[in-house]
Amino acid sequence: MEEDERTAQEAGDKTPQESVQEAGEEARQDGRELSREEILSRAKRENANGDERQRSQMQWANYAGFIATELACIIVMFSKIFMSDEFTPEFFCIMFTGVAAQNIVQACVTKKRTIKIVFTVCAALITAATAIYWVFWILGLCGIHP
Amino acid sequence: MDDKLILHNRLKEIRAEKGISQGGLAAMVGVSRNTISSIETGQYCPTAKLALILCVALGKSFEEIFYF
Repeated sequence: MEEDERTAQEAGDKTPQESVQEAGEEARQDGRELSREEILSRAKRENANGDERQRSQMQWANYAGFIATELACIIVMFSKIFMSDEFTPEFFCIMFTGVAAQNIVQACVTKKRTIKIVFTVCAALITAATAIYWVFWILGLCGIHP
Repeated sequence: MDDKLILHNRLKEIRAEKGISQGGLAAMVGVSRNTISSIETGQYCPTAKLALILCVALGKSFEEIFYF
């Protein structure tokens, strides 16, 4: 805060636009600002594996894939319950493992504190529930029945 | 009433003015021709980074190409 005030005082009567122009000029003189050719060659290198639009399309495809997997699990699980009166917890766990992973990522990425807490709690609860099931399932596969 | 802020652009006009094709501009900045076409038609809104790269490639300021 104090630093901001000091900077504003140092800037004197300069408008924000003038300050930005001056900063740009300084950067150019110091050689910190990249040249046109350098910017374009770096952009080309960065986009060699697909540009930002393609990456965003890929994210949408991944999201659609996730939703489709979740829906498929729900459909198969409920159809088994209604058709053969058989409950398959594996589908339930696959579904919730996906949701847990999503919550963990959201909790890591979100900056807002309250939302972060909500995602962290959800992620912890769902992860714990699914992890317990997977541990028992693996133990069962190994022939250990605790 | 739709009060969404939409970032429009004059990319097509400026590109034509400079005599650069969509493919040429795409090759210059390392994106696909479809991306340039999508930006021009407003189907895709570029990030600040790509928008500035396009400005650098065309030698124009941001305000000259993009507007609300």
